[in-house]
Amino acid sequence: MSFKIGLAQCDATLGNVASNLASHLDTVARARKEGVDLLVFPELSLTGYVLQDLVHEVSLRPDAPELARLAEAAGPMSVCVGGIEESSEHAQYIATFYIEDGVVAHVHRKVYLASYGVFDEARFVGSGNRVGAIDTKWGRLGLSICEDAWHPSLVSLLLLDGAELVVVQTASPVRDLHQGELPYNAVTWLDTLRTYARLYGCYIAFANRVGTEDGLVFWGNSVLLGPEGEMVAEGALYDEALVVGEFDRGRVRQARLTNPVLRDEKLDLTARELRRIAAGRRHGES
Amino acid sequence: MNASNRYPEASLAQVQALDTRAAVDVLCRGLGREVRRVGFEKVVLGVSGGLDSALVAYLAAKVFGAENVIMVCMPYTTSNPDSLAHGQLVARELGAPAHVEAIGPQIDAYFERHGDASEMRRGNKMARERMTILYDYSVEHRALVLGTSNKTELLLGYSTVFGDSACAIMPIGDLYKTQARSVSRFLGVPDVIVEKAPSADLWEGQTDEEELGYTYAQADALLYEMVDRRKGRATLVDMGFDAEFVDEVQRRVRNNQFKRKMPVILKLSARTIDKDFLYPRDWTG
Repeated sequence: MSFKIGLAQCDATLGNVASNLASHLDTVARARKEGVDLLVFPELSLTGYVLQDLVHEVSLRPDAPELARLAEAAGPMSVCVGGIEESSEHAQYIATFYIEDGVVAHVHRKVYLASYGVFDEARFVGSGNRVGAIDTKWGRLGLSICEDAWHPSLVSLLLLDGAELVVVQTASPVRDLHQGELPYNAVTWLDTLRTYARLYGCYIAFANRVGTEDGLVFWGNSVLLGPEGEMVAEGALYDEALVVGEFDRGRVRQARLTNPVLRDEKLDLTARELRRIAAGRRHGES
Repeated sequence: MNASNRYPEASLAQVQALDTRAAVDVLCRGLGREVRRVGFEKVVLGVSGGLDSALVAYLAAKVFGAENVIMVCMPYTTSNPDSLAHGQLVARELGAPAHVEAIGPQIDAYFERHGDASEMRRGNKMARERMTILYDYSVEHRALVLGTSNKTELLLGYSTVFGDSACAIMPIGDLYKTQARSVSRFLGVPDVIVEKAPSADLWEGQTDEEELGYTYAQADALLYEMVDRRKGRATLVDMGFDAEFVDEVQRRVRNNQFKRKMPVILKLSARTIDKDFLYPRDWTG
């Protein structure tokens, strides 16, 4: 089985859902023309990133009309869109809305909020507490948002749960531009993603923002990586782009035959040792 | 200048390792977006004849076109004549007019009544006078005011609060002085400006390095390790920085924090600006 993945490397208007929805609809139309089957927008694509107290004004319930508009426009194409989800308890979360066949079929709440350096997410939103792969018409896939993917444990859980494709939505700004064309955090990102893809024999769909908010310049360079770490498709630094590449299930099989890391995982051992380590930490041991 | 302000060459090499082309790319994109987001197509800045304002003018010309960069030279009567000449050189090289606003009359009118004022008071007054001119030009030309402070002087507090520090955007506020020099060279700022001794030009013969007591190379090497790499005093001394130099720079950075912040608001209400009324600067989208 194979299908086309599109990465919508886009800018956003901070705090203006209506304006962002309009540009999402344009991108959805363009992606459908290009035959994309699964379209991935960056983190908080519908709202912009540096929201602070604006989270309360831009939050959406999964049944919000804005998402219904997108779902309708997407038709048979599936879409991962980024936004602020408001729960039935009126808590806000950074979320991926996974739209398929006219409805929001899944919501992933960002588990690992970035609250260090230039980031201050935990001040304004709650963190998710569920991780798991989901069944879609494109197979089993894992959803993650930015900092989520800096925790190998979370990515491992998605893959152990059967994902063959991991979606990573990000809003990553330039940090520590130094030697070379890529900022240091971009180098770390790309090395990390390539390592995941190679170790687990999976595809990684990484969609990153471009544009500038409050002096933060988002670097784009979205990538679709194949199961041997190969670059299937790549967006330019800093410019908007619709990056399209092919997912080929045969290649996942091929990579996993060569490198059976997942087959050999000792889940019971891992679970047992994790329980021991967690108990130690609870008792204040390092 | 204290020649004993030793610093490890490796630290300066790290500062200088910046990829200038990549830096220009990021700064130009950020600058364009931040200015246009608030509905401006033009910018205005004071062009002193020095390196920092030349660099900001070159960056702005790259983003908006020189015709949309309003460059204002604002000499005082005792300013070095080279300063005006170099400011005009920047404008000429970029192909746009230099607006000249001499500030002698209004500064002198004020100090006629305060004849005993120190050099610092006079310098501060001049910096704030220049600020008011730029903000007046901002309205007249519908142009956003760009600041020209670099990271070294922002950290050391080597500026006049609400004077040269007042602006809407600081395009080179995250570049150390020695990095600003490399980026200026990369963009083709004339050698005569890149190579001259940095000076606030508030009085004759003043140079930054003389006044600070250390060179920009020394300051940048230390600030880079202290700020960017979060190294503590003991580590810095172990690395080869003089303990007294470290203490002096740390003191300056700490004592000038107020210049880098908005004024303090005393909290009374349920929601207070800058404390728990938190919106991005780019709220307007």
